[in-house]
Amino acid sequence: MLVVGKIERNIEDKKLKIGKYVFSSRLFVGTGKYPSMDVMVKALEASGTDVVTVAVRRVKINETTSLLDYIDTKKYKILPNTAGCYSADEAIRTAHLARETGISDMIKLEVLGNETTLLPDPIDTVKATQILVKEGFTVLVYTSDDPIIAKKLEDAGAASVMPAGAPIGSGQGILNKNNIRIILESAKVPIIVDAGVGTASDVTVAMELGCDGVLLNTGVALAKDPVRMAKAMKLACEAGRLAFLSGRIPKRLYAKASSPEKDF
Amino acid sequence: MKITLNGEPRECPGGITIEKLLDLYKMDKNRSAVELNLHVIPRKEHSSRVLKEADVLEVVTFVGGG
Repeated sequence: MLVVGKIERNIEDKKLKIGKYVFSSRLFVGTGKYPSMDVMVKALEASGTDVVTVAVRRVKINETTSLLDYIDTKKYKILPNTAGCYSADEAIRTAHLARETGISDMIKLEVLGNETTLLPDPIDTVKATQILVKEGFTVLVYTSDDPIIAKKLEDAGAASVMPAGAPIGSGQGILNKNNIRIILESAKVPIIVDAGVGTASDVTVAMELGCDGVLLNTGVALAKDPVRMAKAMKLACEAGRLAFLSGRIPKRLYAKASSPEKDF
Repeated sequence: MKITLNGEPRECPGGITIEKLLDLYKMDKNRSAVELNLHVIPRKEHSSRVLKEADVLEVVTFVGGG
């Protein structure tokens, strides 16, 4: 019984804390590309997420309904992004507009390098992080899996550093586990894998490595059954987190029998 | 008078406020943010801020994104 008690204590987890915000779920889910608003709402529900990302775009004339009419802002924390920005100035401008809506001082900072790769521009990303942090934003910053840049973003005051597992929307999973591990080794802020997740096992891999969370969108939104995939991602996130906290066995080259040696 | 609204040339009555312009073009006021000549205008000033000829306005809101 003592042993069981000890194990149970060990698997108790702290909640995810980003800046001044605390979240129960470690899965962040995007709101783009769903076949319908109804499917999106059901998928968000099935994912168990606390945080949903949104983009900032021009209001159309005669457009009186908003995405936020479909999202319960009491239930979900809204995380606006600066997707589509290709310079620090553009991203800062978008962040200012996002904050002015009064929905959040959190910003998912993306400063992209080019349209083909959607990889971040590391120099402008660091610059924009420094400025937005000074202006009081809670900055969650999208970056590549480069450990040096990740550290510089943390030093710049990012509340969370979010390395891409693979290119945005590519569904390739965690391409460089070694880099993610190196980032995690020295990180003092939550590390959230952002982008590249294709299916549930990708989320589990990230969480088993010790990441603090995963942010995804396309992997759920464009699945044939987004609601079911959202549930799969939720379970995968929880499974990966539990496995990480449990402490996996070391990998061995040779076999080691599970049963005692035969003695009769 | 002529202004630029979300990148398009538009006509509106002289002396119109931001709030009245959003009403005129039936734009969602509750979830939007407004930028006038590249400066963000706080929501509480929308009802008092008067537009001038050739002003450039951006009105943005949230859409689906990752």
